[in-house]
Formats: sequence, C-alpha cells, structure tokens
Amino acid sequence: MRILASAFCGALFGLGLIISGMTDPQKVLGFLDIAAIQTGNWDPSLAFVMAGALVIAFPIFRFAQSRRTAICGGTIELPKRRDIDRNLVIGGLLFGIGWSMVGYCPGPAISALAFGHIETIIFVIAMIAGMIVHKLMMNTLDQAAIAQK
Amino acid sequence: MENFTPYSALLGGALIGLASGLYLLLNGRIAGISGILGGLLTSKGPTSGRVEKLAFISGMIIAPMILLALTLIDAQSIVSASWPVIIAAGLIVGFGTRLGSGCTSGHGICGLSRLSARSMVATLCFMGAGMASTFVIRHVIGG
Repeated sequence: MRILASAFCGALFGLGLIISGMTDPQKVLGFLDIAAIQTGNWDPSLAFVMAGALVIAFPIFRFAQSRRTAICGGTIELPKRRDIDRNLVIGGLLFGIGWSMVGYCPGPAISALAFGHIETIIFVIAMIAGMIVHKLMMNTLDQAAIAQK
Repeated sequence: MENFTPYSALLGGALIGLASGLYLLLNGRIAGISGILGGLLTSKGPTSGRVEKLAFISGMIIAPMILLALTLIDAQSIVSASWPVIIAAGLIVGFGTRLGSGCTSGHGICGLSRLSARSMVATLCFMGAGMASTFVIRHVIGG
C-alpha cells in the first residue's frame, strides 16, 4: 500500500513538473535571469509554479501535521532541526550556483530523464556522484570526530 | 514576456503541491527529491523505506514518459551548457543539496508549507545565488 501510494505521488509530482514546463532548463533560466525584466523577456512562470504548489500543499500539510499517523500506516516524520547553521547556508548557495549553470534542480532533472537526452542522463549521474561525495566526506568527518574522542 | 505560461505553471504547480501534500498524508514523508535520492544511497534503515523511495522516483520518470509517448503534451528539455559545465553543475547540485539538507522541493515547497525558518533561509540562499550566478553567466561572462 505504501509503495503504491509512493509511486502514485511520484507520478503526480512528475506530471506536475512536465506540465509546468519546469523540466525545461531554458524555462528555469528564463526565471533566474532577472536582468531580463528590463528588456521585458523575463519569464515569471517558476514563481507561479511555486505559488500553485504552496496554495495546495499548505492546507494539506496543516491537516497532516494535526495527525499522529500516516494514512498508509507509520508515523508522520517531519524534520526536527530548527537551527540555521553554516552547512544550510553554504549548501543552499552552492546549489543555487549549480542550478543556474544548466537549469536543472534535482526533481526536474529526474523527470526530464523521460525525454531520454544524453545531457540529462549525464547530469543526473554527476548529481548522484556529488551526493556520494558529500556522504563520503561526512563519514570521514564523523570518523575523525570519533578518533579525537 | 512572450515565454510566460501562467496557466500551465499554476496547474503543474498545483499537481506538485498535491503530490507533496499527499506524500506526507499517506506515507508520512517529506517529498524532497534530493532527500529521497540521498536516502537511496544509504544502507541505513529498513529496505522497505528504500523500495518506497525507488517507487516515488520511478513514478516521477514513468508518468512524464507516458505523457510524451502519447504526445499528450508539447514539452521539451533543452540543455545548452557544454559537457564540462553539465558535469560540474551536476556535482555541485548533488553536493550542495545534501549539504544544505534539501532542494527546491524539500525546502521550497514542503519547508515553506511548514513555515520552517530553516527552509525559508535555504530557499532565499539558492534563489539568490541562482539569480546572481545566472546574471554573471549570461551578462558578465557571456555578455
């Protein structure tokens, strides 16, 4: 049941991404290029995608947060951290820079695999490699911290 | 603003919001794509959790594939960057989203829906950096 629900949510998510046009990097870059406001070529679509998503997600999140258990069983797990640390800011800034270099963020890159372009496949492989590098780095730092104790 | 597509953007956005909300309501999990991918790279936790994540990712690819195969949608995905830039961008996006604990979906949609201050800061960081960096790439280096 949970697996089916997960696949269904993923499918809805993917449909949303392709319908909104966000699977096209040029559309995303058209939004990030705010200098285009002056020339009248700016594309505010991404802001509308975010707005549309938030209007629907916000009330459902409110309702879900009032529950203890998920409908398909298990607990509702929400991030517990509240602190604003250096990693959050540096990670966010790095992600923004990488995002602007091609126009793919993780979700649209995954759904854009549906087009079968080699550029997208290479981007996704590099992205996963970047995630593995992060994991290895964190493991090394953890071990160094343990060794110090 | 000839490229502006407000209606499909709102409709697509609403579907993304619905998917994120349902994922929390049905499965009790945050629909953050970098988090889901990162979770697939670890051997911690039960196998069932990883199967669910894999199901989500598969749905994300197969549903658009069906739309495209049935030519129900006129969409494209154009990458104009060179190979070294594509690889560097992928590495930076992968590393940065894990370091910052989230991306456009996890922080931008789920986090803002929870009114999380952490996610608000993260969203401002990647939006700000994305805009500044696009300016440099398009109008300083490219211009």
